[in-house]
Amino acid sequence: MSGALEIFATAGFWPAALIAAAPLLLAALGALTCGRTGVLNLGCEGLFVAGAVAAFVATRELGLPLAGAAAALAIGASIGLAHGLLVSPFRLPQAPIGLAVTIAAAAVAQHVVDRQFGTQLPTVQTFEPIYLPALPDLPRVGEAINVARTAIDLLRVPLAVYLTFVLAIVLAYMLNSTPLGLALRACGDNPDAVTTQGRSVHLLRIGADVVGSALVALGGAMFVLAGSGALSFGLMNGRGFVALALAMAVGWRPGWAIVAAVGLGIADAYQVRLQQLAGGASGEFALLLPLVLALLILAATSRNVHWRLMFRRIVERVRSFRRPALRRQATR
Amino acid sequence: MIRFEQRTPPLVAEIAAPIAAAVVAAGLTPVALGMFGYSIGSAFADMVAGAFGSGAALAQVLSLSALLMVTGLATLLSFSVRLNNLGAEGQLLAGALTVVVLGTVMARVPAPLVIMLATLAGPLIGALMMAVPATMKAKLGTDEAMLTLLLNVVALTGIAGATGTALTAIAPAGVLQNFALPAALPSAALGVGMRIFIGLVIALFVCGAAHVIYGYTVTGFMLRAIGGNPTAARFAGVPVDEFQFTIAALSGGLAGFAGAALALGFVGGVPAGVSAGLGYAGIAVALLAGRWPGALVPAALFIAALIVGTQSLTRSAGTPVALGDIAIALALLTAPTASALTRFRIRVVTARPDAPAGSA
Repeated sequence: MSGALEIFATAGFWPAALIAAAPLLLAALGALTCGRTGVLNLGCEGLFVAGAVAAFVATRELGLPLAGAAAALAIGASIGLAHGLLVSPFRLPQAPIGLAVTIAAAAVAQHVVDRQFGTQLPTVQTFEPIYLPALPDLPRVGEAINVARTAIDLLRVPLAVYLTFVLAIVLAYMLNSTPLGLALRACGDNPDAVTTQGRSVHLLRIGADVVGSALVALGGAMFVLAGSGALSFGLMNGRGFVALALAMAVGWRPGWAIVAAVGLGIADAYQVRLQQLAGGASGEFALLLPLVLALLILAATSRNVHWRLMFRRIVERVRSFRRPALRRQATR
Repeated sequence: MIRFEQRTPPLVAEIAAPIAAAVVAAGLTPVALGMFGYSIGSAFADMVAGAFGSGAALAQVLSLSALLMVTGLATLLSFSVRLNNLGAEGQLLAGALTVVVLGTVMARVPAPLVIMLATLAGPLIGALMMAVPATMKAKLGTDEAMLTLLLNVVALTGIAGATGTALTAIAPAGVLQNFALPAALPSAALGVGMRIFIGLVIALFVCGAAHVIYGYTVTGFMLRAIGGNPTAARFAGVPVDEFQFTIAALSGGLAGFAGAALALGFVGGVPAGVSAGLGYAGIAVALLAGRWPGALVPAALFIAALIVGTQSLTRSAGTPVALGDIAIALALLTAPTASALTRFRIRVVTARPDAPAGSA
């Protein structure tokens, strides 16, 4: 089993993990932007696929990954506007509307790809990983720089992936420490309070839905543009729902979303390498891994599961079990 | 300023709303076609002709509607006790997959026995796939909508995986082409007409029974009480949790049964790369039907006709396959819109009646 552990140290493992985590993190951030304001966006799945396809087509046409990202943002924002209008001011139930968005967006995306490219899908240009410029050999600090360089080389990923994590931190700050964030959180926790303040709950929710949906679509774009540049509906299947499940499981908190997304990314990258080690069997079942993990995370973070309480109880039981032994030692 | 005021919908509106929703959804489908750049022209007439024009098309509509009645009932039942079972799709696929796995593994066992076992196992798997999320919701407070949605994808991926490797490894060489049941298994001896007839009879019976139980028995009254207000129902002595668990199992079981029927009777296997979305279409059916299981019958017939109509359009005019999914999405949009319109009175307020006098 030494091989199974050595995977963590192989070259390219950590970049692969981060690259796998970034699309999920972006989509989860989008889902939690909506979710924090009380809009459960079940359109995530369709938005993710639509974003990926928009990015794929735009990058293919214009030869520029940034154009692809912009296209995904635009598509996501416009779908989000429609979704937000239907769900918030028109008060339609969220589940069917979200599912309708998912079904329609995925179907249209599939159709666009079929018509544009047929069955032979090309690959598109992707975001380039960052290469550090060669540093001059300085006599004293040379060794230290080399160590730093090796460390950074281990994490050689596109700038966009780093920016995703920066965005998560910015979003966390925005939600937790700014007046706008407070208003957004209040929309989810206590809409009446927002109304009492003279703010419009509908407007805030629509805004959050537009931004959130755009982020989910950007996650889809990242899935194509930060990875191999190939588009695979099979690989994308369920990613949007997984992101939504993650966002829900972490209680719509961006900071924890980073943890969950990176965890899933590590699992994803690990699984791919483990398969290569084992000889590449059961590729389709490996797609189940993120889904099963998301299900487990969702179950483990359920409302009535109190880990801290359970942990405290276990600690107390262990203590009470050991106490007599300690006393005997003391009397001796 | 426009204000929405909640009201109890009058009976006429309650009946008219889903019909209007259906008409709008069917009317918008050709419009969606126009957005793809195809000529709308006679698309609507072609769709109608494609769904009802020939005996074969009609048979397809009827067989599809039987499946949709069952998945629709699965969804409607769970909605009626405030459980969001969005996983009819996954339960159906899992039921179908179970049947195929059983049929493949027990290739030497006499066919009638396998069919009996399969019709039991399919619903059982479906029931598990909803009973577990429902229990988790009750005990742990997990969000059951999210769980069932994820399970949909799990079932879909599982089917793709099984078509790829696992089952072909167990199956005797040549038996498993595109994941079909061994030829001896499906009730192929019966004619197509007979199979559709049996399917319809079962579906109609199930819907009718549900309608009677829901509307005219004490049990049904308790279910309606839970749907109206679970807390009030609990205080009135209704065993809410038990009911929710039973309905969850029943709901999943029905969807699993539809899957088993699909695999045994209609297709004779699980078509690889299923995108028909019978489970999601079932949600549209349930939303159109509203509160009453009896209304599932016309709703399922309508959605089935819509799907078959778009499919025939794809065959005859080469329109995108996506049109079927878009039609379902449209129905998912229009059905709640219509019912919301009946539940809210829209009032245009010109001056605030409650504004204190003198405050300009």
